[in-house]
Amino acid sequence: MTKIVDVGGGKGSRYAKDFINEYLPDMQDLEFVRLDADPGTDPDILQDITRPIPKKHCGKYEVVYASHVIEHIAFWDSLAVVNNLLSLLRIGGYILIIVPNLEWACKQVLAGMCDLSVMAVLWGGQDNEWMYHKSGYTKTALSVMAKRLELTLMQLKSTPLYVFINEKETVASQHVMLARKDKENQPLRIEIKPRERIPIVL
Amino acid sequence: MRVLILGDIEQGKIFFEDDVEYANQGPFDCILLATHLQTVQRQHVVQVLSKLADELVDGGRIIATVPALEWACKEIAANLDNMGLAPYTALYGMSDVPYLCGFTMPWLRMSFEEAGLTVIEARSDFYTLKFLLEGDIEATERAQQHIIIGLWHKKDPAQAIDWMAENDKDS
Repeated sequence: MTKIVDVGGGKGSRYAKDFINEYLPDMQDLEFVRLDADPGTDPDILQDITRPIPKKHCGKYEVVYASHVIEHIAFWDSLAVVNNLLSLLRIGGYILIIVPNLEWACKQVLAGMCDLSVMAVLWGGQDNEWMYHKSGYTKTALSVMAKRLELTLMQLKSTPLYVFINEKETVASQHVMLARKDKENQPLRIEIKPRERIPIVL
Repeated sequence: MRVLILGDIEQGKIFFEDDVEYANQGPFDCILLATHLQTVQRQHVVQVLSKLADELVDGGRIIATVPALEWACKEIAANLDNMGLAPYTALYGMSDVPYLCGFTMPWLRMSFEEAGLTVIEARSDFYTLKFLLEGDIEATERAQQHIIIGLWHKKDPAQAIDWMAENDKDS
């Protein structure tokens, strides 16, 4: 049994199983546990990831799957948040992080292709109070993050990201980072502000 | 001249003489959105500009300064291994107020025009951003911003109805 914690995926990330099968093909008999801050999704673990993970959940999982999650956190807080997520893993466990591709979005803007899919990659879909991006990541930023958290970087690549804008599918880009936790993560002395919710303007 | 400033109040010194009256109730001769428009949800930008324009006198102006999106993207794309703070904060901000959208100059101009404002000036310039780094070390970086000025003329009621019908149809 491979215990996987699906972080911020609400009622369950749509492509979690496909990504685990692709990036960790040796993992068999997958069991997903849903961790989310939104009680409306009825998660298995109700948890704000900007807060330390309670001890009872620490070191219990083989994989942390965080798809399109950390871009919703301010960049200054992201290191501490990912460090929180690492505490869920046992030693030798993996973290799979998927984020929109910041350099792709920048190149699109420079090419004059500043459409809604680019806006969605940069600042989120903005169709509900959770869907706002507060940070963006280049491959370099992700690899620096892995290094700072003393993770062993296994894979870091860009793949297509299918975005629906006005019911039409457009292809954007995302980064996928797979890293392994080889040593116990240390608490970081970074103060995280309580999660802000975006006010609705009108 | 009655002026409303939203955002960075300090920018008032750049755009206005001493004899202005800063007010929080319309009608205004000028509204300055000082590094503020990018904190509005992108789907509401035109509506916000339009509602603000309603608070202007006939012939009043809206001035907006925003981080230059194309400059930030150029800097990030050109310096992937050593991204500066200034281009990054141009996209996502650095204070407690997150940025919710961004503007290239054509996008900014289009937003003003869709809100019924006539663009009378649009330019870009560089300014200096100050950062407080770890250990209270102060650092500075140059960043580019767009400055746009839109002129507002009250529509006659018949035109206003047509304009609203057009917008309803689009939405």
